[in-house]
Amino acid sequence: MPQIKLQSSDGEVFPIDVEIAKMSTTLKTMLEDLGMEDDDDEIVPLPNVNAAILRKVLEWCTAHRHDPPIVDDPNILDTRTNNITCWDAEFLKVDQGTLFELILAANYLDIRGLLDVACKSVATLISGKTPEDIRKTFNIKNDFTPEEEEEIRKENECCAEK
Amino acid sequence: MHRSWEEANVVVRIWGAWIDHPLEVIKGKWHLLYETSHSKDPSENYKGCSELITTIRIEFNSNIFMHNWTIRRLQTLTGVIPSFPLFFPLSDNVFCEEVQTLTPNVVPEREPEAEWNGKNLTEALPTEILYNIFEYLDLRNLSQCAQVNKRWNSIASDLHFYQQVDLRMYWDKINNKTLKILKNKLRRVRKLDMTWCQDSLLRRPPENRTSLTSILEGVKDTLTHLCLNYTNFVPKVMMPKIFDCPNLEELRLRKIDWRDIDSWSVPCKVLICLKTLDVSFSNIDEHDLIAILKKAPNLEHLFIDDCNRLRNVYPIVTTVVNYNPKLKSWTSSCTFHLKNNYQAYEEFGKLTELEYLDLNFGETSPYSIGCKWLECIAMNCKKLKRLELSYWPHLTDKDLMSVLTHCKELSYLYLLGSYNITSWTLSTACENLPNLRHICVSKREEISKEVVEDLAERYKHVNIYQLEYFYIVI
Repeated sequence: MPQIKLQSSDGEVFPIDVEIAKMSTTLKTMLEDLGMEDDDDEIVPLPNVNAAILRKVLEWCTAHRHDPPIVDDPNILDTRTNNITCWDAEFLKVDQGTLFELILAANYLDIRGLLDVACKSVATLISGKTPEDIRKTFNIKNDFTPEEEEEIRKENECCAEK
Repeated sequence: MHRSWEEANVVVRIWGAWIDHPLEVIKGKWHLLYETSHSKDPSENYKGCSELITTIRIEFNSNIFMHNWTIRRLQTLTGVIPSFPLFFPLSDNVFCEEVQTLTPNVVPEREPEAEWNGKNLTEALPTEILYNIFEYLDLRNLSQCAQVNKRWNSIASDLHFYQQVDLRMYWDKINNKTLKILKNKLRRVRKLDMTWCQDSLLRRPPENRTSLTSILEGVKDTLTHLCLNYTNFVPKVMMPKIFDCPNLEELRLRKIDWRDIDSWSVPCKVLICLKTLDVSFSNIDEHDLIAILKKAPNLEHLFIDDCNRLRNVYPIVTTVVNYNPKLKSWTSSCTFHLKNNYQAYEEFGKLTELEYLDLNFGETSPYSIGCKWLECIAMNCKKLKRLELSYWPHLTDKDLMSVLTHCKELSYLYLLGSYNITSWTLSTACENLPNLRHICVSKREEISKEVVEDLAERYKHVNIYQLEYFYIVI
């Protein structure tokens, strides 16, 4: 199986199967545009991803290499929310910093499946929380004036509780 | 509401389908989780195992308020919001509900982390990522996010998230005033579901403009799906507004009171996109229904269950034959009572696209009326996949023979309460119909347990249901 080498921002080199690299749309486009598929010695630098995160990303890609491609269908938008598989849930048991770095890496490399499941994971952190709880969880500063806050509370109170 | 189950004087049975293996649901295995008399509150008993339940079916007799209330209790029971409730009539005033619950997420809580590469964590995420995350949040959580800070507010308030709005869970919070506030966010709504929303301040549908009327006016060209089942938000003046939305694909108006709408005239616009019309449990009359049908040339699904002012099937079915030739589904459970005009039913034979025909509770005549019409349907409706003929007391094996011979596509046959059916129909159906997956008959002595077990053994792909009374199994 043909391989390519990826280099993380901190200099570590990861030899991987082209098939797995192609799960990243960014890498897939690059490989196709540059015709690099047969060139084993070329190293692809990834200046935005460090070794620890790249290792995680590749772990996810390897586990999901046989996944069917994600199809965009506006009609199933409302049903796609719920399930995180056990494997992914286990995989995403990481600290917030790592989770967010994974999201940024998945976004940069354009790995749709990983991006979606990591975003879902953040959504579950938000889910069911009050604004104050959310601020606490993510250490966000409230920049509303008391008047603005009251106004926005009124705007949103109808659906704020189930 | 703080009433107990007993006080509400309802019989409630909750059935659950469980996950046996983490990722595998044992299909068709229902467990009785709760019955009214068992304990005071089901949430006491089942809180611990709630995450194992993937699908819940509730049966209860109720009015609409109790129905809403049961949904809320279900939340207490399972700790999750039902994502997909289905709602079926059982018999008079008895409803059955099937609810798919969310699989609870297993992501653990984490301690907050202040800094990350010197930046606040969420601030480091680009706006597009926050959009992606918010995509997975429901209305309730979006409302919370909008209150976090200015940046989150601007994202969570984006109309992008308000294109498909489901207000069912807020049925008791929606009133004219709250709708007025919501109006701003509903400016680009395409699919709006207001099932169960009852404005308790409104005793009768108001004569004047309501917030909903003005919301509809604002989105009339973009709205594709509108569901106002069991609401009291439909005043006289609003009906023309609804039928003024030219891109409507799906319109559901269950249990809407049409009596006040006497001055309403025929919709003048052609509803070229309308595929689904559901006016079940309403008191729509023949004149109004026919007027709508004539304006919906592409209608595919018509639901007119239990409409007490529709008396005669003939004018309705001939209108459909002439104006809605693409019709695939027709359900009129409890609506028409066959007396001596059963020739009208032969008209169904002209609907050659028909896939789903539900004529449950169709026959009340004390004498057998013959089922020549059934032969007519069987010979012509070659695409028929689902046929429901429950509570046709005079229906016999012989009447069904043509169906079992010609409707090769049939996958679902529902004959509960048609007491003249014997095991012949059961075995012939299994034998003749290659696509049969579900067949339901009444528990009767003539259909012995041995026969059913034998058939179940021989035709493993067919689910044979033998039930004592009428409820719906999907």
